[in-house]
Amino acid sequence: MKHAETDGLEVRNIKKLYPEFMLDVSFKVNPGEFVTLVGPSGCGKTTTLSLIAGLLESDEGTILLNGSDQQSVPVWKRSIGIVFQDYALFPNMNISKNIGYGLRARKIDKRIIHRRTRELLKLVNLSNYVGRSVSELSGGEKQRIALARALAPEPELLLLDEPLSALDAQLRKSLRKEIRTIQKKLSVTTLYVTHDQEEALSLSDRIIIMNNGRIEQIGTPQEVYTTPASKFAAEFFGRATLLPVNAVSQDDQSCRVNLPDIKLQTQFFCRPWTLKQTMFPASSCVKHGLLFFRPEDTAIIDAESIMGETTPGYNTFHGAKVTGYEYSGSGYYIDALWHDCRLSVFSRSFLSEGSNIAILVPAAACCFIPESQE
Amino acid sequence: MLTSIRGRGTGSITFFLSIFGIMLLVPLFFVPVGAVLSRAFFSDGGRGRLTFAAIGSLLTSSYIWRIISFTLLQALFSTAAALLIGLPGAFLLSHYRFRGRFIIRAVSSIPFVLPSIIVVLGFVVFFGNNGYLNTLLMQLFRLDKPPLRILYTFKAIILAHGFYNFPIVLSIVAGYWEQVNDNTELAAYSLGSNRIRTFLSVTLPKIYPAIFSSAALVFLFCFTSFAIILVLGGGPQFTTIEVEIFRQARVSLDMQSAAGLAIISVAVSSVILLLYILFQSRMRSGTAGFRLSIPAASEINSTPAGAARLAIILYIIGIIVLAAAPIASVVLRSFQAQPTRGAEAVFSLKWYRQLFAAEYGTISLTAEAFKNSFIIAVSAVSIAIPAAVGLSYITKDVFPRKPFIPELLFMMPLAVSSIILGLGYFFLSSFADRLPIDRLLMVGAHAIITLPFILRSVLPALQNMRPSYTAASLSLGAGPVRTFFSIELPMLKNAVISGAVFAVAISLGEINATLMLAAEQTITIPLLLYRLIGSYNFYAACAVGTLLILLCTGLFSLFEYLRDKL
Repeated sequence: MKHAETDGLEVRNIKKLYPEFMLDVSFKVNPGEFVTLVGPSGCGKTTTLSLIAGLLESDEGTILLNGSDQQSVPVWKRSIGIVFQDYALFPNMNISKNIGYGLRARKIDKRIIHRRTRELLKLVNLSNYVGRSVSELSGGEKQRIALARALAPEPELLLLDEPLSALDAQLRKSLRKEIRTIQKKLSVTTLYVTHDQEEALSLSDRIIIMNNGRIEQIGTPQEVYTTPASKFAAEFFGRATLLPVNAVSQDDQSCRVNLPDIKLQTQFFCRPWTLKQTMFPASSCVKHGLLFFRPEDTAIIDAESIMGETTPGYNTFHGAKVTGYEYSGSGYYIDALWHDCRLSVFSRSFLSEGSNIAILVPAAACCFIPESQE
Repeated sequence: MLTSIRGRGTGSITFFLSIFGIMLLVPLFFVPVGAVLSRAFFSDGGRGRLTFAAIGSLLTSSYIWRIISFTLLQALFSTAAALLIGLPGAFLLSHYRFRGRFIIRAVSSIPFVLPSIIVVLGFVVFFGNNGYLNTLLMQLFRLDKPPLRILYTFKAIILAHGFYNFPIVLSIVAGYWEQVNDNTELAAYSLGSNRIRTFLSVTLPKIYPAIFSSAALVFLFCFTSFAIILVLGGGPQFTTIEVEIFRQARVSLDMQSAAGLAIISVAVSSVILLLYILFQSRMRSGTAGFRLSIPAASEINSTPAGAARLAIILYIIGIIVLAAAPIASVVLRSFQAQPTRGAEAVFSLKWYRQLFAAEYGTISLTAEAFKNSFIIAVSAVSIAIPAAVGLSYITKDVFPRKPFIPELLFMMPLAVSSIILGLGYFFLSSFADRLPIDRLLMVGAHAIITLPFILRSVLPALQNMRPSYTAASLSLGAGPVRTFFSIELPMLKNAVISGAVFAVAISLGEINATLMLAAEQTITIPLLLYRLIGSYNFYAACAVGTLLILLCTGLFSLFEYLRDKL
């Protein structure tokens, strides 16, 4: 199988203009890497995918696949396999014919096609389905056949366009594991599109967060979850506290911020931020931004026991009040109000509405999101 | 999700087909029709000066206005009749599962596959003064005179149009209703709305595009109807624009007046056609939201009980009397003969023997007519199919946002009656110095006449085809040509076949353009029928009619069989 030695997919300043929408993206997918494009519907994920596949023509920019410029290469001559949301299995062909379609188009010897079809059916755990018709398959089975069909011609790049979104939750989880296993086994360079953040976090080597035709952040699942580059990125991956703050000073260990409200003299500490974190051109003297932390990193203490105290290495929010909660099975996501600021915290035990609490957040779990200067 | 593939679709082959479609439409439709219409503005056989006098004098003539208003009136009444017969059936088919469904479907497909000339014949034989219905009533109630005198009246035209066109209402509305069935009616009931209010405020707003779209199509057919009016109306008081065009052109030889009337006819029917196309696109956007939704809970797909069951039984009896009986009468009468004048009819094969008796060289006139009709139909439809596919691709790919512009252009043969088309060919062939090209022209005319029927079937199928199939094929390394033949065409297969069946039936029964074009010695089935009916030889006409019914239903069944096998 050909892969890995060359340099994967590179998308350079690709632009596509629509009357009410503009796509403008640049990114790289390394050989054998599994990268996910994630974002809300209408953000340009599928357009990006279509441009890479050659189903759409870009207005500007370059797409390189293993070093070769794809711009003038028609769809059918690009070595790209696509798995579609609606499977797109040809209803006028049985399963084997579907899988062998790409090989027949390349005029490959029949015996080889036969052997390869069996190999692929085995790979997707549907060995005994050879002569079945497409209409006999369940949604999950259809998607596995679609994956096998896309992989049959040994593409240099695999594109998956929301392949699991038509399936039920249980099946989605088991099938995504399977997709990842197969992808690792073949180490095929893969670009996966989804709007489901959980899917993105669990599958990817790296995640590209898109919003409104632009990339908000590129990073590993851990990076985008714990160190979001923007308010959008922070909120996209679940509950978060985002407080408007001003940066005061920064050194190697920490960054100090305070609230713009002069009456509240409290200073907070967070991890030092870097220019690398942001997608926009920023200078190091950024002042305005957001203090960010996830509810799972918080601890709740009885308000009276630490009245007025501070704990080194922690940010403390004294005198917060519980305003609502949501039970999640493993505990409670609590909405709390602290001096007109909304905080999102997590508690293993139940707290009734109106309770007074103090919240502790480790400074290492907090980060500063500089405000876009556009 | 992928919604469109622009620029890099199935390129070359569809481009070729599109060009073929345009190459067919321009010289065989737009040029001859343009030639006819332009005659209205030039005196002296098209060589004189530009003048609006002809149109002016037409529009001030009270005779012409009577014809125009009669044409509109009969089309309006006929459409109402078709809706009245079709809508209850559409409701029953879309809301209940019952054993008689196939009867409704089968009986309503009869007028669909049979040419209008057979319908006319069936009406004469069943509803006529000496028809089966009157004979039966006279025997039952011991009457001396036939109680029903509907033939050669306004009623006969309306009834025949209603019967011939109600299947259009039935199939369009039932199909749509089934697709947009959801729980909104139940929601209305749960909010305290009664049945009538719910129907008016929830159901009707949901299904009106289908009702209007089918009504527009029926109106269009009735507006340009020719054979039914000519034979069943049978008098100057029932002259429509088309009949008058025919009379002016072929009897009075007043081409300028014929052309003036043609302009009026084309103007009205173009507006109706545009309405049809707009309601069709409204229907498409109407069903788009329902395609992925959950089917409605109760009511729908239920087995009928009580009043519903009674309604279904009555409806089935009703359409059998109206639709199946006239056709069955044709078959029955063809096997009967009166030994002496006024005697009781007995079983006989006389007419069939007579039909196939050698009187036309070595081959009988009937066999010649069938051979000619068959060759013309098959050649015409084989030309129309690739053209329709090509024009569908133009509509979908070149104008994805405004498909009604090309659709209107390509469907124009539906709005231009075949009388006008025939007249156009007649003009053009006079330039060709009466070369013996009438058969070639007939094939061309039939290809143009059947084109919209295939287009009407293929275009929605193409528009509904998921672009991901094409994208998948291309991404798997199949080029545009391979993708077209191995993926797209197989998916359009059913639409092409059902359009083609209808087209063959239309061509086999086409009489208007044929009447205009056929040279004396050229005979086709409808021409033979027309001559036999004209000479009041109904028995022999029924024998020809029976053979035509056999041919049409045979073809229809063959294609139905092929649809599953191919």
